[in-house]
Amino acid sequence: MDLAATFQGQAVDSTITLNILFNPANMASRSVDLNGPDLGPGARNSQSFTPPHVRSATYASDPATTLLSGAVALDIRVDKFGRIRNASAIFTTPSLTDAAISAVKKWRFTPGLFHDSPIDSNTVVVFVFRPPTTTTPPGSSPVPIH
Amino acid sequence: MRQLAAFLALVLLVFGFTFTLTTAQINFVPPRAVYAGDLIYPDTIASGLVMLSIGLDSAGHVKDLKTLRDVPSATGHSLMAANAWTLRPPSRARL
Repeated sequence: MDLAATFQGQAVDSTITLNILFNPANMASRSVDLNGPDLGPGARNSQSFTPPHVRSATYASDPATTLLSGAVALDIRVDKFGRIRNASAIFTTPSLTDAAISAVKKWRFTPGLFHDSPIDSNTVVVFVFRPPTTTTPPGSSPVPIH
Repeated sequence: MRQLAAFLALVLLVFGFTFTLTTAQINFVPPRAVYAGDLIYPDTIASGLVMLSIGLDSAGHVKDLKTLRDVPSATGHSLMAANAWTLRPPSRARL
């Protein structure tokens, strides 16, 4: 069993960030729009560990992602330079996992900080895939074919 | 002589502080997720990135859950799913 983290004799609280990307079909490696308000700060906390933060992200594009729905959750190791060192699946949809790993390798992060010094740390990225919708939008009716 | 002693004391103080911080950084193993459950695409045409910040106590219990980036109609699903995940709190590395 791991020992609880301490700093100067005190057990420390911590923060982890979850990044959940809702990835519809046919996004073809488009960049994820990260403009708009961050509702944070949130990430910084009392023991001065700041988790890695997404700087840029792209949607996954793969033939399988246009046909299937499902989720892939990845535990991402980000090094002190903001590079991805490792991506391992902690929840998989087997036919979509490769597409998710391939896409996340293009993402860029700011590194995690401990007392303002960059350190290797972890974050989570989840891809939630959806095939093209085939349902009729509410309020519309099919056009009769004569 | 007194100036030399003061200088040496300052050097020791700076060195000691740096050593303490460096040791703490080496010892600090950040939190991570070890299990995530399924997440269904909600019935929406929305797309984009939801960012959640989960505050953990030293035992790994969730203290608070904040939304850092919102995708209306998808954030609620994300918050519900995140509650079922297993998270490992920060720990000390065995040196």
